[in-house]
Amino acid sequence: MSLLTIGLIFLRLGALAFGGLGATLALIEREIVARRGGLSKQDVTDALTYTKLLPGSTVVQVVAYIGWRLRGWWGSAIATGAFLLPSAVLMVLLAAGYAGIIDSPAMLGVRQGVLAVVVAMLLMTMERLARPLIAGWLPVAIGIASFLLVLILNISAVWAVVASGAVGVLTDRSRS
Amino acid sequence: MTHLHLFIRFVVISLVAFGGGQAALPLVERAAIHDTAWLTPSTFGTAVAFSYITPGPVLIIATFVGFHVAGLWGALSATVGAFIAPWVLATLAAQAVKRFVTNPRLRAFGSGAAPAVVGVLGVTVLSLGREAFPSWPYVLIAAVAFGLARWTPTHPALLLVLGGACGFVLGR
Repeated sequence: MSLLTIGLIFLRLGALAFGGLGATLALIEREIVARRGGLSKQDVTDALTYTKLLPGSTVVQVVAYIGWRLRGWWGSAIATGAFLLPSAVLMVLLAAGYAGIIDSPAMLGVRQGVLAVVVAMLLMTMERLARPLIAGWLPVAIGIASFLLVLILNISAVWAVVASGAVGVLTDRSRS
Repeated sequence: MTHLHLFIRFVVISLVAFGGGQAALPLVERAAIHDTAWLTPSTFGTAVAFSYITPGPVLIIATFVGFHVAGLWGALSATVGAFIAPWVLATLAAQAVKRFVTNPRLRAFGSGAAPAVVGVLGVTVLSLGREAFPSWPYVLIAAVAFGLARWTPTHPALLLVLGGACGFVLGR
């Protein structure tokens, strides 16, 4: 598959990738596996398995992984760049439109209504991320400790996450 | 300097976002509202909404923050910052799958970091919640949105548009 083809395919995918990780994976599978026959279904599954554990946006990492499988580092760079381009351009347009239109006093109600929904959605994200973790006492303790440290002692969120990761490594070693 | 600051902030955020792009949202909130005052809470809310409405990853919110702070070049710095490290990591993973990703230490680090992200998310929900509910009808909007998102397959973009519409009526 040529770099140009990779670029065009992922540009299209980037413009159509609505609806989060699951929907995007299905789209990638249809485009890359079923239609072009470039890779197998297993490759897409592997891409998810091996990037899920890494920090960062998983959708983008699946794209980068598949880009590498198709055409090495260049394939990966072009796939990732092309995939991000449509949403980045759209975001710049929205950000430009935000100033002067949406941030006007007349639109205060709209911003408040949106913010209320955003809080609800973040609460949902919190529940979804927490659900698989509440089985063990250590994750629960780490979650509560980070919450309190960041909220009350004003510790940087990044340090709280890094320190908790270190706790994960240390306790893991003592167990084995 | 602002460009470098944006770039570094988003590189750091992406490197500690264990749990994917949505796990990065509270870190973006901490960095852009609490630490730097780049965004007001209501601007952040709209930025999150835009990042759900647009295709692609939620972390594309970096583009909004960058543009809002420093125009087109700011958008570029923040966007490259948000995705360059995850891109390198994913490509390395594709190249050396077993050696790298099945590393037990990385796994252990992730298992410690994931619950911390949830804790930080709690702080974000609290601090945004303080701004989000000027009156009771907005609490109702949030409760209905939560219910719909939790128990029906309603698309987030639709919820955000409906929330905005309700707010428009309330704000008149």
